[in-house]
Amino acid sequence: MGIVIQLLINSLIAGAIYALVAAGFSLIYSTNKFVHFAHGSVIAFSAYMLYLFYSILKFNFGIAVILTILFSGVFGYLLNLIYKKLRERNASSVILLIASVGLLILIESLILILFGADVKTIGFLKIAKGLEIFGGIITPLQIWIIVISLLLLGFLHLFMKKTKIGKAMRAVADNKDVAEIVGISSEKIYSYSFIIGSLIAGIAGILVGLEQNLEPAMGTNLMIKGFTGAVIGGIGSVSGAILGSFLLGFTENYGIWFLPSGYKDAIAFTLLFIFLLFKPRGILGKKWGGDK
Amino acid sequence: MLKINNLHAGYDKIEILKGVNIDVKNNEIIALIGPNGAGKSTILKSIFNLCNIYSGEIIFKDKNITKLQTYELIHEGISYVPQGRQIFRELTVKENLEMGAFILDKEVMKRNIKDVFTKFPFLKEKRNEYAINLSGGQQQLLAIGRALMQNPQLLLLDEPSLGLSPKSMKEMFNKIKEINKEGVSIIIVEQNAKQAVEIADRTYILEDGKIALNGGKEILKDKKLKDIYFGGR
Repeated sequence: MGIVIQLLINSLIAGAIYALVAAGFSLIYSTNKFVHFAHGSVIAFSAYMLYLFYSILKFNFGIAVILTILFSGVFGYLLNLIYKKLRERNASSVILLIASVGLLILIESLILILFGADVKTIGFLKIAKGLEIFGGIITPLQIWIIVISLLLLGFLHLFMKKTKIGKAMRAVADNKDVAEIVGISSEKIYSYSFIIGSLIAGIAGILVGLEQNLEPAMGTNLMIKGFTGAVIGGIGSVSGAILGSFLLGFTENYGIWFLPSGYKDAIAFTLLFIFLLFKPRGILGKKWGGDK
Repeated sequence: MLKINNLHAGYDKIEILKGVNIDVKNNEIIALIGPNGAGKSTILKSIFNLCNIYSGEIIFKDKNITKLQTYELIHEGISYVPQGRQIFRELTVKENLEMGAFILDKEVMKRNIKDVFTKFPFLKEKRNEYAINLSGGQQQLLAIGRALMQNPQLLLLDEPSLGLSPKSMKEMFNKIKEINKEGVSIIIVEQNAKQAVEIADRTYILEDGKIALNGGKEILKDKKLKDIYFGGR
């Protein structure tokens, strides 16, 4: 029984992190209609920013967190400016995808140059004794990860459904040409989706940075998981991305009940390929690349 | 109300309109008809600044609007309903209407939604349904309702009857007449030439980017109309 509960807890923690990555990624995809792999670099960027502010510059933890989140939003805004330049030259979504991979590699390399290749720890939380729930162990930070992630995803859902900007984002995602006709500037909406997606990725980066060690390539690993979650759920659908991410978390963690734990990533990739081959639209899916 | 003077326009370097003159008076319904590729839709797109204008001018209520951006045109009182039931399919009916008034105040939006619901009661009934679940005719009326959210004085309709059943088509033409009676001038581009001439006060017939003929309902009997459509020159 204990193992079932432990795997359930592990699945929820993994799913919560993947869902944050996938939700931001999907939000950006839905409005911009291209695969922004450099979204992964925002996660690494934010984890290292927290390390810089808190561990090196010794800022108060709360201030370091707020600065990190703000910087992540600004970072997302700047990334969009690069894509904007390419869009002005009529770059296709494939060109933008290639540019995003280039940006991901560039930013991770810059982190490597600035902070070095050795593994870093933020060290805000001392190793805490886990709480036991029905035979499974969970640390207070892990509870925070699940709670913050669910709260953020809930806020994102409300934002998209209830606010004028959220509705305009869905309108641009749905039919950009009509959105322009009613006076919604799609360029502004692209910017907003990059900022909001990156703020969420920034928070994911902080949570991962507190839970695990920091390494320059951490964003790529999480991006692959977030991307897989988004594909499983249906790319471009934010709620699909969340659903897919939790499904991925569960499949990975319950998979290693049967397989050695080294196969965790292989399970994710297998699932990604199965969906790409047999159900590319995912569970709640839409057609790739634009309007249906 | 609207005057188009010697308009040359097209897409990139392909010139579609080759010197078009059109005059729309207050409260008129103007129909634009003509064969495929004659440039009917391009006229609407040039009024709404959605194609390249090479020369000529568009004057709306004594103001030159040739270079105005889309959102500025909405403020001026012009709304556009593009071809092919263009709605936000994954937004609800009410959200579609709200987006129509995106650049207007919240109060104006609320008032206009009420007005549109009065004009199209089925939209009120279905306000929380996703637009994708409406029938073709209902989607087209939703697109018109969304344009009315902007309080237009001039409404541009691009082939609103395209793909509709005869019953939906009749209902839609009736609605267009009702909207016009409330003081909105309308320019309608139509494939269905006979139907368009019948509801219009005046009709312009385009051929190869130029106005070949214009006039009232008598235009249907003009020999030249048959020549344009059937090529017997």
